[in-house]
Amino acid sequence: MFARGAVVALYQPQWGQVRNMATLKDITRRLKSIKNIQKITKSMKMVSAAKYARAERELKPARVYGTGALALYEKAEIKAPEDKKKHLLIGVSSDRGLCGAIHTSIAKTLKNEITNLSNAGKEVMVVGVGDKIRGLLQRTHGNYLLLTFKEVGRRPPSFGDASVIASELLNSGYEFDEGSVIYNRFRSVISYKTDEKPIFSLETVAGSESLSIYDDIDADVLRNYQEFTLANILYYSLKESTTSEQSARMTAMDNASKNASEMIDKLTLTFNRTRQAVITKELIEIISGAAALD
Amino acid sequence: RSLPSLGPAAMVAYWRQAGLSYIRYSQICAQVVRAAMKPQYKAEAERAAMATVKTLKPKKE
Repeated sequence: MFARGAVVALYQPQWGQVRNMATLKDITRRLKSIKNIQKITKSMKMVSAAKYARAERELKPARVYGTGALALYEKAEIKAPEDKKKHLLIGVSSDRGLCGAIHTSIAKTLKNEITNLSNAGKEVMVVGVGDKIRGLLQRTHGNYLLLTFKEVGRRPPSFGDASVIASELLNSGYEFDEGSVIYNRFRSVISYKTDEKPIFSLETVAGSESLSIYDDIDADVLRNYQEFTLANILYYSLKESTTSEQSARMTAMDNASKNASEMIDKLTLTFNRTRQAVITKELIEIISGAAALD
Repeated sequence: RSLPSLGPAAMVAYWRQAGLSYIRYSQICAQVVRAAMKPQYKAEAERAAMATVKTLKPKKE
């Protein structure tokens, strides 16, 4: 039997649909608020430009830390064995918004990685550097969050920040086998790319065969090196991340100012047209009133 | 992390035996160096080394 659902035909009387033509006062109010917004976005762009210049200047020496830290992993071709279970993801972003797709691209990559790793049967935990990461992940993937860090982005990052993050990570008690840092790598003023850099646990590095070519390596030296590398990689990713964020905020605020100017031009035209229409209407009333007296 | 066991002729550093991590050790060393700097360079170094990040542990329900 083909059951047909009851179809209720709701008749909505058309009263609120017709929009009246805006009065001069409405247009003036809108024009004033958009002009204020344009001033704000323009000043935000200036501030971001200054912060970006400083961040880019500080990025050049910081890149050395990153490439140096990762050089051992690349030269010795250290790879984690496939059967390792515990994984760690560190998403590096910041607290403040209005910077385009910076936070959402990191969160998207994190969510994809969580799904892939969980499907492969691995245990995943996420560390969020920056309040925005926590906000984006908490609702859906809240149980994967191990730690979050806030007050990121207000001042340029220092090695002290990276040390604090690395220390907290090491003291958290989560013994991960393998991990990766997900950050926005700065390419140029107008482009950045979400990138991933690996981190390995002490056991993985110590157990790698190619390590025997290095002289004077014992467990203590390796452990010191691992801890220091963690801080180095975090410092490098923080520096790259802030530079990308400032350049993205500059672009976003520039676009916002441009859009605001376009709206101001359009509104000014409608304002003039409306003003002329009001004057014409008054004239018509006066003239028809005068004609009615005859 | 647990204290490393002293295997055959293990060269474990004194600070590692005291329970410090390498990061904490280098932080303390840097603090000492900064305290020994001349005043005109000290202020700049202190400012560059300031750590502003705060940790937030997620509440377990």
